[in-house]
Amino acid sequence: MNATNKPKISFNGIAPAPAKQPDAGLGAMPFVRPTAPSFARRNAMPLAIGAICALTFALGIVTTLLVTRGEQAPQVASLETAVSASLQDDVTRGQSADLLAVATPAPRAQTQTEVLAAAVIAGLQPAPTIGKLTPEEQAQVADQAASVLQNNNLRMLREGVLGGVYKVESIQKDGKKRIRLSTVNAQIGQQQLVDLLRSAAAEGKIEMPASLSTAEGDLDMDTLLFNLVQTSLANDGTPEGAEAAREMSRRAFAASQAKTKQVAGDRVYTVEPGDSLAYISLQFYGAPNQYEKIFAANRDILQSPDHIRIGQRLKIPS
Amino acid sequence: MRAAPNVETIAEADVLAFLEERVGRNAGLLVDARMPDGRADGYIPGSVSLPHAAVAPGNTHLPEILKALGARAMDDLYNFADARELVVFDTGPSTDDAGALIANLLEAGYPAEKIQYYRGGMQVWSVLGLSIEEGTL
Repeated sequence: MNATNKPKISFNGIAPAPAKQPDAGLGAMPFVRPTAPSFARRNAMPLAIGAICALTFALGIVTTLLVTRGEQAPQVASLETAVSASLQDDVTRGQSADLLAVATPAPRAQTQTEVLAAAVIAGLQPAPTIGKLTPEEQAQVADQAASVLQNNNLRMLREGVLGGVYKVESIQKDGKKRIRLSTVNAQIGQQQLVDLLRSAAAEGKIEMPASLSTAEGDLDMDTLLFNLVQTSLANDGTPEGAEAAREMSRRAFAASQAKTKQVAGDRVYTVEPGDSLAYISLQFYGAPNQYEKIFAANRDILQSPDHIRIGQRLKIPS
Repeated sequence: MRAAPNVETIAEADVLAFLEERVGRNAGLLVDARMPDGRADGYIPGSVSLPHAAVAPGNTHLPEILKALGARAMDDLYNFADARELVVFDTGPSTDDAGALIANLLEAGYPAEKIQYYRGGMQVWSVLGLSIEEGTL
């Protein structure tokens, strides 16, 4: 065992030798101790040089900082303002862009609905009361209306409408309700008016438009009278006249009791006894002279405006 | 009890008859006056939703709604000769959505004789065991 240990020790050969040293030289120990203080003493020179170097380095840095601070301070300050300015720039730009981006869609959406609503309303409105005819034809019609209305009673009727003392009322006639113009100041019977108009037509003062032919082939005198007064007012060139003509339309429209049925998305009106195309137009558009709209929408079943039959189903464009 | 002068109040049998005779022939509408959240709880089959706020005076969609109800329009004028007959209901006797809707319709010019009020509403309708369509939000 020792034999095997010994070679190990001897194998560690170097170790046994120093291990013996402490045993061998207890006297050498005091010799070793003085070597520690002597290390600082022996290295005093490099240490001092190192310290000086470090001090110089530190002083250099401090000096550099002190010297450059004067220059850096304004630089930093200007950099800061530049940065903050650019930040502010960005912020304000960003904000305004955001504000725009947020603000624009809402008004746009609104205007879109408003435009849509306006379009819907525009689509609902009948075309302007006047203007279907050429200017010459219109002047002719207006002249006719004016000349017929020279008659005292009719003039009073016209004045009454202009002054607002009139009614567009729905009256019971032959078991059917009809819209008719009547005034408070013109104390004349309906038959009297009809006679006047007939004689005017006979004398060639006014034409009897085909649109005034009723389904029975008679002339629709009530509607003719309404049309005469309205045409004369609308064409007298004054705002009051135009306004009175418009008001007649509004009252007729409101008084209308004509009923329609919805057929495949269209308003369909069934022609009744006493109807003329102009009267149907009066009921739905407040003006007899809008009959062309109905005529145009029903060209497939109507040959001419005076060819309407009782029971015929007419599309009423809106 | 009336919702408004000249607006007739009707009962369940009348509502059923109205559904068959008028709504079925496209001449009438059974109108639910509740706001959409109320309707989501279920409604009478065959009814349409017309929240009372939708026909409040000044609402921009009012003209389109009146048109959809059959009214004819000229400028700002309406002619209700073609307007459909309406039966209006809401949650029940304790609520007044129907009253508000009827008031708004009358304000818009809808003729009172074309409006009827089913006062029982969903409460009485369901208590009587009549069928209810499930709503969706």
